[in-house]
Amino acid sequence: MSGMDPVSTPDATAEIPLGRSRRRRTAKVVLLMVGFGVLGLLYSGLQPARSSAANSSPAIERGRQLFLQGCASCHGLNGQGGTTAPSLIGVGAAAADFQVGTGRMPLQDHSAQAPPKRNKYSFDQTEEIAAYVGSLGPGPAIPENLNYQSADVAFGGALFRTNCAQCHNFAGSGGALTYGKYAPSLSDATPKEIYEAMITGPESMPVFGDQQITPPQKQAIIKYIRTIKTEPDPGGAGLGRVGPVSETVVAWLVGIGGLVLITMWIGSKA
Amino acid sequence: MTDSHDPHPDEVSGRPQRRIGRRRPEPATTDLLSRNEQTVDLDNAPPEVDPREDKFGEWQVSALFMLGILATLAFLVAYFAVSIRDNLGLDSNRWLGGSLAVSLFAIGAGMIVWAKKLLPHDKAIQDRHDFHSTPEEEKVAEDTFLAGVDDMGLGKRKILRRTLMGALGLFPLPLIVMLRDLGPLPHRTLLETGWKAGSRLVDLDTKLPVKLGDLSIGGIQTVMPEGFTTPSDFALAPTMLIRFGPGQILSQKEANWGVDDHVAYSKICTHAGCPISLYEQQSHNLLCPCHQSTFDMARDAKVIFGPAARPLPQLRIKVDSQGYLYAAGPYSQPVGPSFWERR
Repeated sequence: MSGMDPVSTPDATAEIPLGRSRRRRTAKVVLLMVGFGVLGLLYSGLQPARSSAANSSPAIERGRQLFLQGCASCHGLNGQGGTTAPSLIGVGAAAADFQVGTGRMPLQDHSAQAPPKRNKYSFDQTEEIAAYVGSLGPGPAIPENLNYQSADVAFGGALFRTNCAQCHNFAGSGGALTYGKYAPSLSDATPKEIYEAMITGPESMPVFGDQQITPPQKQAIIKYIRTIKTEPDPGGAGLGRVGPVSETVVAWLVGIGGLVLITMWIGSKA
Repeated sequence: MTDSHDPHPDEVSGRPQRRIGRRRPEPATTDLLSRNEQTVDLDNAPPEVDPREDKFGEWQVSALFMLGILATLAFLVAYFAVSIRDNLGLDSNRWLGGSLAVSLFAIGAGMIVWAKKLLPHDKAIQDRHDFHSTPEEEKVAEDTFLAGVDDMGLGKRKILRRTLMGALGLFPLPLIVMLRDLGPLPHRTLLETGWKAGSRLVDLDTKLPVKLGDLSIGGIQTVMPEGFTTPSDFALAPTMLIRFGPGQILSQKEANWGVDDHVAYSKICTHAGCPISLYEQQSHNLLCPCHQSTFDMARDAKVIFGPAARPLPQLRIKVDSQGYLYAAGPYSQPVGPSFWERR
């Protein structure tokens, strides 16, 4: 792992593999060199970008403006954090992209957990905010080129059951945690969001770094989640796919309750 | 069906009195009475049957039965026509289940409508009679039994009596012997987890040894002792490796038993033995999904909620010169739920 790494050539900037921190660091050093050169030519006199690789400095500047309007009141003018919000230095662009992209940030209220909601920012604005947050310090970048389609779904299932299913349920339907927190359903999560959640560990979720679960293994997990989402329910209604609990509730309330009502009707006088 | 009539208005509200074990005085005889030779009260309102309504009821019932016939035929057709291989069998399930449900429902509904609309709605009271047989019949039964015992000759035929008693006496023995299947005693299997001093920590799925730094801060990994084989031999081995941020571990003992903010704890809940790893990396709470026992992983896995009686046992880990994590020794106490011999 040195400057010979093909990733560190400027042509390949957009193709940086997902969150490989060592490679990224190498890439970043070289990129900063190249970036300084280019910027020096084009924008001599402007301040140099402390950029995460894929974004240019105007995007970061626009992101900074958006950050000052929408985020700085809690996270501080430089993202250093405050009494109610954590520092964003070093959380990486992926964390900001996940939190803003799923609508969890800006925070709705100070409840146990930030619920996902409609993202008020456009796709480009979200990327710009993420670029700015990514520029605050080294952290996981937004994953690109997720080629999960060819991944091994069975192995992904094994990894999912070991690492994810305890909170997110075997079918990705989510579940309760302590004191009002919960693991959300994964049925609406995009591959990028799933990937970002694994490398950044939003809120209660543990971080699953690339040394623990390698990028191909993460692709396999995504493939599994996307596959079970499209699986039909052979038994009819899935009832939330949370297993015997909802099925028993329906059997008792609807099934037995209905039978009792019918029995009462039969027994009533004509 | 011609006796059909409405109940007398006076009779509608009051429940009939029921008398048990006592004969009622003979009521006025009716047709039904003489037919059944039972005590039956009838309110004798004249039958009022609207022939058109009667016809309509008949039509309703037969329509329901026809629906049942059609649905049964639909089941038969669907059984052959709809492939169970399409759509994971969903189409077939819907057709077969749906037609069977309609068929059964229509037949049942037809019978109920028949009973409600077309059968006579007599109000009848039938008292229970004494359960005793007549003394004469009881005497006959007793004599028959005793005569039977006499005929068997149990008193005279000793060999028969003894072998029969032997056979019956021996019969419960197999039942008692089978109780042995409750054993054998677990002996040391509940005390041994498969972790030994020097066992490297390997990932459950990839079976690759875990290096210091593989886990991100706020990460959790399920690890097993290197060389683990069948799940049954290593059922108590699953262990969680958790990495904290600097200074987040609040117990000195916990930090000392770990390596550089990495700590290892048994994954088996001390309450009922469920595997737990619902770990919240910000609160450091670990939740058991079975009965909501909650452990504070930053404070020696102390129980902060739920039915678990003990903290999760911690596995003391060290790091070797190559950076691989290994167990400094087996668990210092039995893992998992309580058992009789646990000390």
